[in-house]
Amino acid sequence: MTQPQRDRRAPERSPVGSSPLPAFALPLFAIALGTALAAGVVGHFLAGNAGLAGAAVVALFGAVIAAVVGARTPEPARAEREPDTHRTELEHERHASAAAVREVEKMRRQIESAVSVIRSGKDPLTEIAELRVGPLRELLEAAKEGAPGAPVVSRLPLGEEELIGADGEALPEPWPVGVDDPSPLDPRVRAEARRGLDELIDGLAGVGAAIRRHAAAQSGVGHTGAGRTPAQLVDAVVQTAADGIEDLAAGLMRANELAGVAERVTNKATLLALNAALEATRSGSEAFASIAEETRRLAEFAREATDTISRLSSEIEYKVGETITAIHATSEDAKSAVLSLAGSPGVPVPSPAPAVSIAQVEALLERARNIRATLGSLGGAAPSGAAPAEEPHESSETHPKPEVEVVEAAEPEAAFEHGPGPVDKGEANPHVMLLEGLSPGSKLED
Amino acid sequence: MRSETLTDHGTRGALVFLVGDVHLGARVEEVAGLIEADRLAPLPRQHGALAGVVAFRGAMVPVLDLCVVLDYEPAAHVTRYAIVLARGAERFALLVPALPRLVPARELKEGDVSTGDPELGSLVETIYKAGDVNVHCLDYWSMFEAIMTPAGQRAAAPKSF
Repeated sequence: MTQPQRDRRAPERSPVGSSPLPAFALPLFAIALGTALAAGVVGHFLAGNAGLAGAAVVALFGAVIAAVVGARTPEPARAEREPDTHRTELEHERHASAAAVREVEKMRRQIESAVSVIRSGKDPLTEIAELRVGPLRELLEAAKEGAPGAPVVSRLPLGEEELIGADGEALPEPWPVGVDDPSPLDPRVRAEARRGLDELIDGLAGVGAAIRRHAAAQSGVGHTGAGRTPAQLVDAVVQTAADGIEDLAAGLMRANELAGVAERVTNKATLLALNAALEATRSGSEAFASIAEETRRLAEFAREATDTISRLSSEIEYKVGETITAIHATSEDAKSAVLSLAGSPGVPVPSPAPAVSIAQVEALLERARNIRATLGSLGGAAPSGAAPAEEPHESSETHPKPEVEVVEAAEPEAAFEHGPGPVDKGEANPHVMLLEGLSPGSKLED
Repeated sequence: MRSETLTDHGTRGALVFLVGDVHLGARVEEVAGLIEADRLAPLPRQHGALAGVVAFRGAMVPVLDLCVVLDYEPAAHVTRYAIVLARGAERFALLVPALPRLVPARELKEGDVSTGDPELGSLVETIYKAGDVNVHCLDYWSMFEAIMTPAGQRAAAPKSF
């Protein structure tokens, strides 16, 4: 603000006093008298030019002492002038405050008029000539253009050079926030606004969570459990199957070894049967012949069992080898199929759109929290965790800067008094939502 | 198994085995037993068809490798068997590359020696026909004695000359 600063010290310099003789005059008079006497004595005892020079030196020394004493003497009337200066300053500020209140009241009337015209479906800039020159002109033009995606709450882009009234004169003083009325908002309106902002924050948080869930569901199309791609999953399944079959092959090799042992046992049995048959044939004994026959049957049974085991083991080993080869081939085919499917248009691929949506929702959420913090600071107690209002955030990069800016702090021009007026949620123009909240009958209190 | 009776050629059966492409046989009356030759012990300065000695029923029995005697390529990495032949108290073993089979006398028919393998020559003692197969029964003791001359004869030979 380039408002001319009033010199609060100027009235204090004005000569105001009631005593005719200053308090420091008596010591100066005594010093001057003593200096004159000393100079006379020096002149009396030192005749000629030397006496004159000595008298002059003594007089000069006395003058220096008098000057030093006079400079160190405190000003006795300064404290007595303070009440008058403070009174003048308060009177000046009262005048400035009255002018600001008049200006704000004028602006409020303009806003009420604009709201009524807007509700009637007409253009306030064409209906009310007063609005074409006031600070509401830019806001109404922005509302008329109706830029989509603009913020809900807006303020006028008032610069220091724009602090002029409708008549072209500079505003006397900014609204003295915190001097007379620390909270210009009506408590009911403030409570209603807080409740609405809380609902907005909750809704935006819900939307953000829903978008995150949607993004996660979309990303889940291309990924499976434990963060693995389908190709990796196919690889893992095939690897697991191949490992199991290789273990089975190792077991089969062990079974083959045991089949070899069984074959050796069978050979022994056959050898025993042959020896028994040899002995029976040579001796012609019936008993030996029966033993030889049973031994031979046992050897035949063992031989058949061993042959069956060896044949089955060989077949299984062969099939296991074929299966391992087929699994590896299937793995390669599956990976190729997954890669080709991932590139086809029929398969949804995670897109960056959800991330952008999340960023937009988070930006809106941050703005709503800032507004909530601003509202809390207007009420005298800022909510904990509110972001600093002046800090820029990423939403300014993702959204084009609108003609009107977001209310970020307890700006004096945003301190309109609101009433609990009805809000028509069917009207979607966000630029007029602040105006919708104004109560036509409410007045500013001094 | 019913008891076998002696055939006309005086045997109850034959132990038939394959060496190379020739079916050889040994009469059961000459066979003392059949064992695996997995623990064949070599002899010092052994050479030729003598393959070593093998333990059979508590006695050391010399072993002749028939493949070497008949000049056939011996099969590698196969289980070999030793057919122990007995004549009185004397024993020796024939090393054969496959497990023999016992052919009873009722399945054997005596054949003409001239129908046998000509390469075997005078070694063939008897030929039996088991179906379509000619089973050559050789004079194994003459082969053994030609390789391992009995100690008495060796000692007597200088005396004879």
